[in-house]
Amino acid sequence: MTTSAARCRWGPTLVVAIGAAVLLAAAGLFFSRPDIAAVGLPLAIWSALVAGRDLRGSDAVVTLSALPGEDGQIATAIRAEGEADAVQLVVRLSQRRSRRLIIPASGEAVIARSRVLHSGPVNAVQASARGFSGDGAVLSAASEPVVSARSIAPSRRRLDAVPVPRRLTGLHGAHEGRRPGQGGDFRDIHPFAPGDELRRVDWRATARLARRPGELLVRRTNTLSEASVVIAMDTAEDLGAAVASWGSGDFERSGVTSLDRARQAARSIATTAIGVGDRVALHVLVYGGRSVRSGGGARHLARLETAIAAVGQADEDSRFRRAPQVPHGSVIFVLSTFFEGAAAETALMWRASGHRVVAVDVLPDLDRSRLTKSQLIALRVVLAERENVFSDLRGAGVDVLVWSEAVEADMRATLRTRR
Amino acid sequence: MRANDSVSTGIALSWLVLRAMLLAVVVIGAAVLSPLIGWLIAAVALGVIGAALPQSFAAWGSVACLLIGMMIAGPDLGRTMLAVLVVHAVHVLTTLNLVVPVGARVVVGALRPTLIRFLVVQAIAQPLTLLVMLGATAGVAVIPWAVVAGAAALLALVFLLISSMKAAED
Repeated sequence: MTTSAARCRWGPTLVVAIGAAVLLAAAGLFFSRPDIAAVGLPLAIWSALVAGRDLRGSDAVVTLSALPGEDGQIATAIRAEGEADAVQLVVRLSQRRSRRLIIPASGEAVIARSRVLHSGPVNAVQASARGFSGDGAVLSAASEPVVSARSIAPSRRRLDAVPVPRRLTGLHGAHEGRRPGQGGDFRDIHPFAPGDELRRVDWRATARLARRPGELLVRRTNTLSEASVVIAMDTAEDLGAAVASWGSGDFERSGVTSLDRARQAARSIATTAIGVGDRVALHVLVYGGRSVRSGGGARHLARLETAIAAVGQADEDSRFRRAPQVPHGSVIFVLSTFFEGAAAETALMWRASGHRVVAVDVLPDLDRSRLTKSQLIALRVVLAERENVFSDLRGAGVDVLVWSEAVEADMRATLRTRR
Repeated sequence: MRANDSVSTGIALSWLVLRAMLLAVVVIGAAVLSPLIGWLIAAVALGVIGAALPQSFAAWGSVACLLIGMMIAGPDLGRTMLAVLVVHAVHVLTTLNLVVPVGARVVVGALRPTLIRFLVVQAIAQPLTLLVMLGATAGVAVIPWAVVAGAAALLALVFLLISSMKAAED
């Protein structure tokens, strides 16, 4: 719940009314016309009623409270309360459209509804108010804008599995590890050593292979390991499917955007990885970007989903990207449009450090309508540059994956690749 | 696209209704109070400008035209009472239109204090007008006294409200 209040002043019409009443009285006297003087009576009485009002009692407090909306909608209750007669309210809905309202300051709720077009953070309602009394003759200063911010969770796609690194180090997962332990497939027959469980003794192998009396042989299995998965999101750009909308800030006509896909990809990968017992970390590749440390389990997944839903486009001036520290032997998913080289450079650096890196292209399927000829040529040039970036990545051993309708098949193909 | 965002309020009026009401009051007042066509046209023209651009205060110009028409026509009880109603209504609607921006929706409940204040002011002003006009028409000798008394009452009221404004600002 967010609130705001403001201060008050007299409006110009009070001076006009007082001046008019005096003028009419003077004119009535001068021309000996009682009817002219009488016309000034309502203005004088009105002025007396309005001027008698306490200036401090004309402010208003705006309150925003989130409401459960219908499916695909967000709803917010806007209330204005105070001593003012009424409130002039300017409401901006989902950073798209403004509405101006004159509402009573009685706390009666005005319900704002917006259709959810994109996932991620959104200012569902931004409201600023100015209370007024005496028909508008007493005005309060405009209040500071109050904002009801929400984070819209992205949808989730089912993935069969996500790629895992060659080197699995953990002891609590679902992947076949390289170290001896429990839960995995047969590893070898090994002489009994202190610490081995007696139930692991393979009596048949002991009878057949023991070379001296008292020697016992145990049957060893591989351990089951968890993988360390890192999701790195590049939020420098948020490009819609409609190329004509790029740079316009119009996300109403943009169609699905690159960050919509990035959030969906991040959530899907995190859910799948944690579902098989892996540890997942999240990093936003901007200066001061959010990081969630590596972890596993349902509570950690909930933490990740909240963080992913809150990932929005970075500010214009935060182009600096950092390379976060990642656990040893991780598989790193870099989610980006790869229009700028910084995300690719980071991916290459991680690959050079020995991590398995998957570059996930989150650029939506482009709608080239409403583009001029020169814009089409420019688009072809930047797309060609992007293809060069992908070639460099593939050459360095980075798997490149397009987050599209066919992502499950591409992910399966990536699984078969050994890195 | 507009259906993507909506705001639900109680019963509400468009900002245009308030502007139209101002124009209607000016037109009715001019038609009844202004005997000369020239002043009538001037009042309506200023009313149109006042309704389109309230911050121009042109509606007050139309009030001036109505008063000139009254002065030309001579004193009359019915016309004076109507003028008291029209001038007050024009002032209140102009004041309201100044704070109702273009494109705004006005929830009817927000106009309740305005309506109550309008009725209170009229409930005081109309009997006073009646008294002043009856006193004025009772005899020629009374007229100057009625005018002086009315004007003095107005000035006293103005003095009182200015002092109360200063007190409120302090």
